[in-house]
Amino acid sequence: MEQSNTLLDVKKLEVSYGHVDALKGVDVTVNQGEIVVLIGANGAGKTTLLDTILGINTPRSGSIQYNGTDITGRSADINVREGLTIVPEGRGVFTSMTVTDNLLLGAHHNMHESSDKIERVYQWFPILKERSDQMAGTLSGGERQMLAIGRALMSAPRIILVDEPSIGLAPIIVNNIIEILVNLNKEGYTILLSEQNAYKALKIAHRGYVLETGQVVLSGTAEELLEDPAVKDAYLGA
Amino acid sequence: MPLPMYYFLAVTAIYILLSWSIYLPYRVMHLHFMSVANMTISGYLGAYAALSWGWPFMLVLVVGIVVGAFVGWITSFAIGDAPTFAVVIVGFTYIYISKTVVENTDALGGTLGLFNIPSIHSDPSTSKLLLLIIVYLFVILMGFLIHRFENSRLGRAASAIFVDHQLAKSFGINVKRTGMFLQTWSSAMGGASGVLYAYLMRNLFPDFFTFHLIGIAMTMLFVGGYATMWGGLLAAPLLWGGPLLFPPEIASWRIVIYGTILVVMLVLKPEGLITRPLVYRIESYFRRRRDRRIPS
Ligand SMILES: Nc1ncnc2c1ncn2[C@@H]1O[C@H](COP(=O)(O)OP(=O)(O)OP(=O)(O)O)[C@@H](O)[C@H]1O
Ligand SMILES: [Mg+2]
Repeated sequence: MEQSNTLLDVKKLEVSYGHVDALKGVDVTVNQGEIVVLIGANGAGKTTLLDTILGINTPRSGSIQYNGTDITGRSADINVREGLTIVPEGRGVFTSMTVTDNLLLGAHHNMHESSDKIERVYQWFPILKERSDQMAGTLSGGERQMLAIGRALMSAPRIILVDEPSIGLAPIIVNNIIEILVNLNKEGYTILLSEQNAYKALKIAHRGYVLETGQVVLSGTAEELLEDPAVKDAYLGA
Repeated sequence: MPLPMYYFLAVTAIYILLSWSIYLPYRVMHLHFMSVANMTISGYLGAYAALSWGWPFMLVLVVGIVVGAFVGWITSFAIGDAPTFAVVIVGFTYIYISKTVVENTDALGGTLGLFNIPSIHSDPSTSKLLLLIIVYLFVILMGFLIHRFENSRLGRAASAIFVDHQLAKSFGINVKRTGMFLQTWSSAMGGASGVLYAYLMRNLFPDFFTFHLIGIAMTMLFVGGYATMWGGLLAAPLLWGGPLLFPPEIASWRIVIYGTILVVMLVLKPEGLITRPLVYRIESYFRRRRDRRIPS
């Protein structure tokens, strides 16, 4: 067992929407500096898990520890302040706001040195600098995903929850986004990534969890999951 | 100053403030009409204090604002992040209750109204001029504060909430606190409008503070453009002043005219005369000119 430094520890998490049980006792841990991937088909509960960690949903039971503190049920605005952030599914950017305003929204809770933060985002994504005064609605899908990631960086996070970044993007753009995530991870950002594109995600991840109808059915290192016959069968299309 | 001019300027200012007070909560999708109730409450309270206790104008104004803000703030604990329809209902309820209370309180003149609210200067025409100056200074101050708000992190947060409050939440925006802030501000402006209206007109009738006032203010906001503060500012003098120029037999159809304009506008140009992209284009035009003048 390697020496671990647990940043996020989710235990027996249960979440329901009315009568729908979206999560039925999920255990997930993320260590400092890792890329951890959540694999699962549509409706498996990936978004629910990420939203609940951030504090947008309230769990029915179970606990979430972040950096040694119990944050179960704590509201998102406090969690963002404390270094959690999300890149929402579907590249949620505000189409009728400029690229700059979208980025500034990410720094909502701490505008201190926001122009330095923007400059750093522009170093990651030079294309956004060229588009800075444009409405976000005029960006391409790949650019919007970059904007969503850039906005997450604006909050100076420790851990970034990334919800299906590759959905609806051309393979070459997906590779681009994946590469950015790897580089962000090398810079020290911890990443919890949900993906249906299991192969590409596992290739860059340290560890992974397979989610099926609200339960973790399999977990292990990325290599183990890539070799697992059940995973190969269901998610790698091999 | 001719009397019609005085009334035109006075009422225009009140309508600007009122349309802004509806505009502010609408920044987070709240159609909040409570400011009309705040007008009634602070207006009557202020008039009563001036008449019965001899309070000076400035004190009445400050207390009117504070009372408005307080009522709005307390209420916003319940509806700061409520769905739009709940906010609408609460606003209507407040209007109904405050009007009924006034109508049934003899000390406030009941249905007959409250008369002879003191002027702020012994000379009547000086008093009128002074009042107009104060009222427009207040409009300018509010306009300045709203403009500052628009370009602040709170203004951006409000725009995000307007489009998608769930998404806004995920950036760490406190949706409820933003709503509470805007509702409180709106009510404070409503309170101020009530006091200013009372002094400008020097009398108050409960019939003024009703749903047709909402209709007028809403028409101004939605015809002018609800997406920026400039819409109400432009539409208030046009919509209020325009019908004054009509012959009297047409002028009494004002509400019908407003209603027609509102419906036509909502169909043809739902965002109103002044849209956000338009304001954005104008602002960036001026920014570019300024940047050119200051070489970096
Ligand atoms: N707001 C909601 N109200 C009711 N049910 C919901 C809600 N959000 C999600 N669900 C249900 O919860 C379950 C998990 O949904 P979730 O969005 O977390 O899945 P997912 O793994 O992110 O799927 P996808 O890959 O399609 O994004 C689904 O059965 C879904 O129908
Ligand atoms: Mg999802």
